[in-house]
Amino acid sequence: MLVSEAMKNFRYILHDVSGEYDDRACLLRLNHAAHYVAHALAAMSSPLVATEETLTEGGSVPDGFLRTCGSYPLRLTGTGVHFLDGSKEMSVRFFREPAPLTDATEEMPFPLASLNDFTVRLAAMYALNRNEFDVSQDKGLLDELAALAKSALGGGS
Amino acid sequence: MTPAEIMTRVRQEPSVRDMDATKYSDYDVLAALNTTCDEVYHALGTMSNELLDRRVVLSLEKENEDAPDEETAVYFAKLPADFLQVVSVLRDEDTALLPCLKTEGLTRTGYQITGDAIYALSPSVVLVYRPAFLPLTLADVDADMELPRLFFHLVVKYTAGFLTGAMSEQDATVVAALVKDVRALVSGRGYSRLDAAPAWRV
Repeated sequence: MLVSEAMKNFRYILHDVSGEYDDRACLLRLNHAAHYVAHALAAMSSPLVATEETLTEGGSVPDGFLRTCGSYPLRLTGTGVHFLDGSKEMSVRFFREPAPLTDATEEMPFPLASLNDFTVRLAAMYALNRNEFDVSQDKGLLDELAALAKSALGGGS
Repeated sequence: MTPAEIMTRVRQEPSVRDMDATKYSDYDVLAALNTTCDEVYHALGTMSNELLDRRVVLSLEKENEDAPDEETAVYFAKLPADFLQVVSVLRDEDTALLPCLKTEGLTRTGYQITGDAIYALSPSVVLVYRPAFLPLTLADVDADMELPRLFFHLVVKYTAGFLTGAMSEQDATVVAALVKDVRALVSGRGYSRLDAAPAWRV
């Protein structure tokens, strides 16, 4: 799903016929929501946000680094990497949050359409909340969806 | 049986369920496997069995280069890195050496172990010993282990327990259970055909 498509859906859910949300406002909400979804996936140790890269001694962790998958003999200070076993480099599996969306021509961050769709709905809920609508009903529905998606993805253990 | 096989099977265990390696790194699984193997080796070390016994021919060096007589010169060699206990020491294939008392000198028929070296009055000895477990690293995971395959499920069970924290090596009951399981696997391994001597025979 392209970000332009996601923004279209976002405005559609909000009934934003007057173009109240410009692209920048849409991206801001979508980024909030995407980070929330990425953190939720990382919290349930989902491989969808796991990645593997070679880190080097004395280097920094890659952008978007959340935490390693399990423990490695490495010590982080801020973003600095120090290996405790004397290695010069090490292949490390870690959870990564997606880079912020900046442009309508980009792809949405998740490999599953349902997760991108969930991101849009969450973004819309944030927007409605800012507009001081009562979103408790929406939140309840989204929570249900989140729980379902979690078991579908094999998490929750 | 390779560590890699065990590690994959451990990730499959219901208590672990981590084939994607997102909860536990290979370092985590290997650390738990090392703990298990260490305990298994210790357990085997306390039992009478020859399962892991190793035989090496040691070339000994003269302790004092200026020793006058070849016959009385003392020779020594460093023990293997994984040495745990002596099973036997042979000077040649048919002469077993006996441990000499620490308070007395070496004899032609004896050996002494001091620190991490063995001393004897012979330039070469055959050492049969029981090894300790040397921790595996990720470079060793595809090499065959010395533990025979019959230990596979025992090792998987305890590795999964140590990995998830359900078991702890500090817990004496866990260690006792492990020792019991090891004993059940290996007891009488080499002697199962021994006939029981009737009590009434004189």
